[in-house]
Amino acid sequence: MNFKGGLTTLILQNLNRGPNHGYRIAQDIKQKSKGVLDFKEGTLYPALHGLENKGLIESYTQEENGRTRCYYKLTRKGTKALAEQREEWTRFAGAFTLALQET
Amino acid sequence: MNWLKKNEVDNLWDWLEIATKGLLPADKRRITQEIETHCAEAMKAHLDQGESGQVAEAMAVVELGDPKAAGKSLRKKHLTEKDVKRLDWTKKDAGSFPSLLVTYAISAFYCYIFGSGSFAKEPKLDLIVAKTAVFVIGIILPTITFLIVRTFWFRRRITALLLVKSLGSGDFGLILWLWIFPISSIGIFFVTVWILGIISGVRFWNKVRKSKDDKSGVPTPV
Repeated sequence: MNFKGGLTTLILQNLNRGPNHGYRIAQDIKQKSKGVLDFKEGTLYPALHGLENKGLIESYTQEENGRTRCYYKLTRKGTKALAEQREEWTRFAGAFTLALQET
Repeated sequence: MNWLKKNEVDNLWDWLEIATKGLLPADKRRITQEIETHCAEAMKAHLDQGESGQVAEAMAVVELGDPKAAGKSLRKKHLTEKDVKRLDWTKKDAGSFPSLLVTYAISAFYCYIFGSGSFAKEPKLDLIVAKTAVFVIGIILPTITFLIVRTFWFRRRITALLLVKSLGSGDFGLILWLWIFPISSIGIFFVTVWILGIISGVRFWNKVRKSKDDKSGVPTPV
């Protein structure tokens, strides 16, 4: 399912649970949605870098098994943005469900 | 395997080459490192599922998607080599005396055109407004901008400099052309060019403002 606009919200939600790296974020989103929310993993990094530019997340590097891994974590601004986006999405989804009801 | 044929590239190096094309060396390095680590993890997962090394790599690359699309998105988030050149040019051009003289010369040319016979049919008031607007756009505004951007504060702040340059005389130009050529095709052409110029300038300013890349224009050593 294509969900281009919602990817940033899902990234923020994932990082709300704690710092994470690109590959794990992608796998978590796919697993949590039971494969319904599938996306090309190359699109994840521009989205992450965009969120970083906006100051919603921060990155830091860490050495792991001889590899330098880039981790991302949510900032205070990001937490606030997530709350707003979640509320907006809940309102939108509720309205959509109501509109689809056959009564 | 048919699914492999659909993808343009089946190895990570080609994918990275396309996706990071035009980016600054520091960003290229960072993105390459991130994607390499990502792919290594993906390959390991496929190897654990019993795939061969070659297939595991190809599958990991396919999962990354179209490198051109990824590259397009990355170039929106990061400054490119072209952007740095544009920034460098903006810094050099703003506050440059020869550049100011060129603007004066263009304004004089426009004034000459408006004074020529081809505009004889235009109402006198329109021509007075046109000449006044050219004087404001071509002489007063560039002179003020020239003096402002030569100040220490502006020379240290590239984003402020870009915004001044982007908006610059664009709004005045729009008013001028709407006044003189309200419905003619030349009027529409100039208005379109001016609007596109302003949009392009403001978009570039916004990109530079948001980007965390080095805006000094000094290339980072590879």
